[in-house]
Amino acid sequence: MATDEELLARSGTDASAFEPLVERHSRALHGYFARRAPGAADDLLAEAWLRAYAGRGTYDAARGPVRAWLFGVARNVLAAHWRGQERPAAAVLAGEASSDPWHAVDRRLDAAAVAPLMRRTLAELPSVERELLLLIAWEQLSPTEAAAVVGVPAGTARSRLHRARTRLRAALGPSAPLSLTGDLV
Amino acid sequence: MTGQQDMNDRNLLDFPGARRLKAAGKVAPPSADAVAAALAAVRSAAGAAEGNGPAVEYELEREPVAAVVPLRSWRRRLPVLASAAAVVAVVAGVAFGPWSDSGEARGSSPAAQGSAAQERTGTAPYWKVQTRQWSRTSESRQKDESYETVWRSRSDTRGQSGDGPVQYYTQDVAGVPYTICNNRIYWDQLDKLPTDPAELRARLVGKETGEEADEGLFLGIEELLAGSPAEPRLRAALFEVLTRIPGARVTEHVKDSTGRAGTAVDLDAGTWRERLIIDTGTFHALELVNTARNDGLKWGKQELRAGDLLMRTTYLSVGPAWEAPRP
Repeated sequence: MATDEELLARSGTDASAFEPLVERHSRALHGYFARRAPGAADDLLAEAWLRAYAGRGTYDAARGPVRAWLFGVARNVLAAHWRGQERPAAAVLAGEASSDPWHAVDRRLDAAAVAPLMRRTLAELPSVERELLLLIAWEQLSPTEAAAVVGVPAGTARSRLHRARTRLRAALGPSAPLSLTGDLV
Repeated sequence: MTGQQDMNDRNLLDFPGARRLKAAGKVAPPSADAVAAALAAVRSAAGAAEGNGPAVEYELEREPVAAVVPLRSWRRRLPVLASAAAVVAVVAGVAFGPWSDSGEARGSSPAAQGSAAQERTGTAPYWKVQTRQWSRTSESRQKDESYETVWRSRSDTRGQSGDGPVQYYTQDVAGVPYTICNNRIYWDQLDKLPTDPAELRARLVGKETGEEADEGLFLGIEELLAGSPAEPRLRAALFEVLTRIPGARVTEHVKDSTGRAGTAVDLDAGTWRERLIIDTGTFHALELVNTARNDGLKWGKQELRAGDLLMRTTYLSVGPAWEAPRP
């Protein structure tokens, strides 16, 4: 089976080679959008693939795996989406930056009964740290891949991720209430 | 990356509640229709590029996409159907980024402007940063020290960890932004930033407020001072903004871990204390130091005391470079 990189390279002269990429990665990209813009995930998925197709000639395999590159495209599409949205009144009042999907993410965490303390701690993280953390927790990217998606050097990403983890440990540490499974309640 | 870093990376989600956080990310897979629509859109774009017939006809609620047009303005202009011309533009489009615009603006992206600006000003195409990073390991008192060199340009960031291979770090071919709070600033926007501290702060912070804005500003300024080719006037203004962050404390005549003299700006952020040491002659960053703010901070199996070192990034050298190794 051809690798993503081989398919993307071949798609420059054979457009049909791009199609397996859509089939392979749509689930992951759709999940990325569904977690951050649940009402628009289908549309954003199509937008992301069109952008990726249009920009396929600029991909350089030496820059990293296709998967991380696709999430970078998706991140740009998501930011454009949120900039163009009417934001919830609560987000406006809170002064949230217009391209930050945090409000939607927080609603998801609330619905999933994630502890208010964790939500508050995540909300207080700098947005880049929060984004890196969620790319690893939800999209299962490596720190280096997440760094590439967000656009910071890998060393910076590792440093910020360590900082985020320390914050979470400090806020949610042994004194925080735990369930019988040891998970935060 | 060292073996120790590998281990640390694997443990990044080692905090109470991580399992529930991960579980909260579970979503249903896309419907077959959604994937089919994406595939059809790509096929139509490919077909239009080859002149093989009509472009995609989207349903009313499914707006078309043109990568050469920013989504917002494009949505205003083309609310219903993607024309064949628009789809051809997608396929032929050279620009690929948030600043992409229609015909008259083609070539005016920050990346495109870069080459002209470079010729005009003679500035080097890369900004090279060599760092030494130290971080307290979570599992033992063993020190974890590493070296990294990063070359940053308008369109990519590449780096080398220790003696390892040079790798591309970033993917955004249309420009690599500096992220300050939640705002993105591109290389070619640096010389357009205001140098009045109040205006600069407003530009950098945007709409963010509170402690998150203060810490985001602190870290963003560190990124600009260390990793960007900002001009001296802008550097001086960034330093001024840094010292005016609520809660920031300035200490002159301090030394970094290599013995270089500078001015420290401290900011308390949650359970951490951030310290950025700056050479106030050049306004270049010398070192970023993170320490425990109070006694009792948990760090893996350790319980730290106020002032214990958590992480330190020492900027061994920063400056313009005319060349960067190819990965």
